[in-house]
Amino acid sequence: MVAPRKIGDFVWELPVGLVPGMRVPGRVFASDALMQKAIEDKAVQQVANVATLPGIVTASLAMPDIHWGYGFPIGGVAATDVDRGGVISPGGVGFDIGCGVRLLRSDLVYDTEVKPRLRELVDTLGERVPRGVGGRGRMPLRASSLDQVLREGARFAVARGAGWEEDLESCESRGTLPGAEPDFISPRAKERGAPQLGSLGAGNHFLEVQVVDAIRDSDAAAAMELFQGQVCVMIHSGSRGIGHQTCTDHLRVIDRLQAKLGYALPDRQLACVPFEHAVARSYVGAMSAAGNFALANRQVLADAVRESCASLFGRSSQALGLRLVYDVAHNLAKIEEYVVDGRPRRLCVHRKGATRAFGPGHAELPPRYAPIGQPVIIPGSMGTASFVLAGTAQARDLSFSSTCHGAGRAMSRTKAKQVMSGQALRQKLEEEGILLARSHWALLSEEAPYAYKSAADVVETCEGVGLSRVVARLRPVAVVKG
Amino acid sequence: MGSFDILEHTADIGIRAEAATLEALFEQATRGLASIIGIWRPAAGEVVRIDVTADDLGGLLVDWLSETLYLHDTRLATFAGVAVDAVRDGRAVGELRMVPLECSETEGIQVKAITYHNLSVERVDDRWVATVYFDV
Repeated sequence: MVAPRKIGDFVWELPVGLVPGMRVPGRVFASDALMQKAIEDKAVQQVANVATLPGIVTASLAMPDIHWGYGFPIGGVAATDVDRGGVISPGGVGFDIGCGVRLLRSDLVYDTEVKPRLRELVDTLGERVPRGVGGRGRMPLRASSLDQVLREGARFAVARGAGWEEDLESCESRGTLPGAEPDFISPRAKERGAPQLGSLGAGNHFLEVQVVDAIRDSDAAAAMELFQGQVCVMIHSGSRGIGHQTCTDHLRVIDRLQAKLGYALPDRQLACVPFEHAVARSYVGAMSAAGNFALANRQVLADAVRESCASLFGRSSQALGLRLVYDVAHNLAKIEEYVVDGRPRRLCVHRKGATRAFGPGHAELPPRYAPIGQPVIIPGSMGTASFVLAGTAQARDLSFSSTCHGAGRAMSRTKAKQVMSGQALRQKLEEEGILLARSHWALLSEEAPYAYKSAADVVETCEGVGLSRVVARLRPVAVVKG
Repeated sequence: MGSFDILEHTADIGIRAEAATLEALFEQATRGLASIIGIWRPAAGEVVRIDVTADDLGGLLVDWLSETLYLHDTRLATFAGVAVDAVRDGRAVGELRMVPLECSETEGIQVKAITYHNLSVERVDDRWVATVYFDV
């Protein structure tokens, strides 16, 4: 494969022709070191593959946390012009539809109020937050209620008492993705999802108690009510089995249409269909519904956090100031409007392991964030810092208002387990002052910090390019692993 | 008889399975998937019939494995055995033996779904060889 050409401080271009059928160039936002990892990892090839999607505009993009995925690279962003034959590709959203992150802030000061009771806190969270394979949730549902979750998202959970009305304003799309069609979710997907509402899941999903240990943008931090030494709780989870099955079901149908549509894509996982096709409309309705399940899931998990803190500290969660900073997905496709070649276009923006990051003044932002831009929550890896970023105006032109989603893996799970046992890693983390809720230790080291790139390098690169700016750094003190 | 190997992937994981017949190949792939999840535990168990159809062998393997994953996830059960009766004419028929998990913890990795990425099912000399990646 031809080496990518560096065209700016953190910008690399893959010329059309690198992979047969490319319709636009590829563009990777990365430092030299991050780019080297992406090349070794086959992820760059995947950026070029995505550039073959019918109707793709401007470029196939990759954020600085790019790594090898399936079909799309993780960190991939592709926008297609839906009024000019542009497609939607379920692989550009992924199986964990609507997977994302939310951050709760608090009035609690770590050193004086939480540190002395950290073990109790992590144990309480560990008991109250359902997790692991299968994992029955806190709010299992009957079929009729499930359809309501799929239509209403986080609003459903709030109406059932799991949260506050004001939470919805701090969620992407006000907590309810439009266009959800529960009828396009199969009975078997519903069967998988119904028991799981309010469960963390497994793998890289987690809940973390963190401390704000650096503030870079004080105005934005003030708008988000963040301060030095403060305790926050970050939740990373998705749509659980309902999302996995929904993608499986619709991808199967779309895969079988490829020959009929005359598509010959370089990776079968890129299977796609014109946005205006009836099959695409079914997928979009189902994807939005599964995305609503993910929003509701994180809402119910946040309720478990509030309940745990209230019971431990003997004050209501309102009195503890456990307010939602923001909730945003990093696996979703959305219709958004951008200017392309001087004309406003309706685009289907796929973000596969990339986060939407609207700049200041965007109409969707709640008033308190209008001056600073959309909060973006970037989880680190277990044991390393996480970050809060804010969207920029430049990102609209650079990346269809997208930025990174995390540290990005750098090592396979098998290799990660060979470096250190789960028990040894647990001991190491606890020596560093990071407590873990009781778990299945054997699997812990698959998600070890050394298996990931540095989130700090990733967010600094995002700021260097102008995709987002760093607001605050949060260091972990307790982890509840999925 | 046949065998399977785990394939490394930065974010996900895959298997390469091989066997003398397509039926044995599908059985090996099922064992591979179950081993990754940590639920391959040979025993007696409840027999569940599987019958899937697809236009090509790769699609058929994805559908077969997706079906077993759905059964695992909804029944919270281990795989105690697998027997594939026939893989021909775009159809795979067989049975999975399942035993309910005693608790939700397994020894392996949660697999979310079966992908089409780098998927292949092909004849190499006198053996059938399959490559398939899973989203974890």
